[in-house]
Amino acid sequence: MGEGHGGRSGASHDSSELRGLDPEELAAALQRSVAAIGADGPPRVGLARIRRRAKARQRRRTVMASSAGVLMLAVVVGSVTGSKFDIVPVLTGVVGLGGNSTSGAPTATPHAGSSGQVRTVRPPAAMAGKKGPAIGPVTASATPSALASAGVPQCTAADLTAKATVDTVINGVSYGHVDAVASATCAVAGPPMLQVENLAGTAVRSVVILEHESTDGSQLPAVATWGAVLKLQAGQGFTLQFAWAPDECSAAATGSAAAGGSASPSLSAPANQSPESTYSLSYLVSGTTPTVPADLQAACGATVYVTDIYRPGAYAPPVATASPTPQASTSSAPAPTQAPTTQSPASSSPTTASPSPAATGSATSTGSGSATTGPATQGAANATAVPSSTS
Amino acid sequence: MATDVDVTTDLLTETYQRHYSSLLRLAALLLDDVASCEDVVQEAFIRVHAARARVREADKLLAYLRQTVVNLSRSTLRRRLLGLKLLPKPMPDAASAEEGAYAALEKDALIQALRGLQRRQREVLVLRYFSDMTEAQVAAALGLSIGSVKAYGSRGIDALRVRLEGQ
Repeated sequence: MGEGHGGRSGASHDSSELRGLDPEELAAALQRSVAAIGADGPPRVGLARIRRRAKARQRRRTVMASSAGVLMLAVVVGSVTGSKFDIVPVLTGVVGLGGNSTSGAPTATPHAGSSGQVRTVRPPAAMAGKKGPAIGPVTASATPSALASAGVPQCTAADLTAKATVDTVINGVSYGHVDAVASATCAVAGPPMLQVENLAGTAVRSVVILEHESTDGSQLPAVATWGAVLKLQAGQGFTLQFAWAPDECSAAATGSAAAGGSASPSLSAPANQSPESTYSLSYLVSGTTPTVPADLQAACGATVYVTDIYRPGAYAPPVATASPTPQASTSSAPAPTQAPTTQSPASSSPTTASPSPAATGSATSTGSGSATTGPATQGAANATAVPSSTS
Repeated sequence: MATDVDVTTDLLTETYQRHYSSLLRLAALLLDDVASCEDVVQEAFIRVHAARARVREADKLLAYLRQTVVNLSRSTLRRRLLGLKLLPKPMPDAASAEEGAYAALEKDALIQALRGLQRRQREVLVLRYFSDMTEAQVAAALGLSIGSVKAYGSRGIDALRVRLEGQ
């Protein structure tokens, strides 16, 4: 059943020739009217394009169906378990909420072995190989299921005495640790939650806190866990280590670099410190209460690498005799040549600007001026913005 | 040995090559904005591609495509009334290639008269006389009774004749 009423091809109709219209004439006239359309046949690439779009649509539908399924599961789990299970990180990881890989914002993925309390935020592809996964925002509203299974209450600020300390500086990178001791039986869950502040309130833009990975170039120990749950008796404690790697100053930030005395760690703090270059790093107990901070310096922002919590003594801190290079030259961590002890402020302004693919992410920050990991602030994701010029 | 999917894929390819032009013409007769015709036909093929596992006979595939073109054309007209477009952008290469043919269509007295008909009348006339479908097939495609198809067809021809005489 084709369109078989052929006729004069492509002829336009005068109204006078169609006034005595009968069905046969109408059929032939219709054929003639549109005979010129599509006369060249179908576009050669048309079918491939149709197949491509059909498959893309099918994929989208599959994703939508999966998302709906996960959402249903979340509703069911939430109604059954109440607030004992924090489904939000799982949801955001599976469905992909909270991240847009094409816009430069971090993409949320659930971290393997996580207790469900903390999710990692993978940097966009542009940052691949430059920085490790940042510790992203989490929610503090729900009790982690891992802690619930410990059978003891979560450690609060009243239960813990914690202090952050800088131990040594190796190649311009400050290494330190946080020691915490419990005064009562309680449980604490990793990954640790850190807060970095400076007096100028720019830490949220200039500091990024990342999970330590073996490939990040820092000399932190390879702690086997990420999200460990430790049950502490009174007098017992836990430790975590961190590395403070000041970022290279971009050309635009030369003035600030000069003022801040290069990328200088705290133990060799320059004389002319500024509100922007003086940072304090503290551990957040239960994700909310900061402990005694460690003072650190960075003229143009910094990258913090942090390990999971562990039993004291399980891992040795870095020692100054080792000399691997922290981070690649394109990363934000300074190369050994940027060590403040070997370089003057005038010569410490590299010509390569620090990468800043996620700089726009800070637009939604809480404005607290602090870069925080853990459940304390949802806006902490914006702290993962790559160090930008604060000059 | 060819799988069902292979057979269906070949059927789709064959249908595309044989009937793309006639479906494009069908859309051109139903739409008052010819620029959307390629979009409508392409969308129909995308949908039939998604449904290819269910439609494995050539006749049914063509009927499905025609029905989809009619429905999409109707939706396009409805959305245009609201100032919206059906699809984000037209296929640039196809639109430019057909430009001359569409310009001629705009001047065709029959086409202008056809566009002045009621939507149902136009759909019935186009499917019945351009696509050479039986009254039962038109009824199935449009979701009408055969009696309604006859009535729309008869009144449509009368209205068309009146409009042509008035031009």
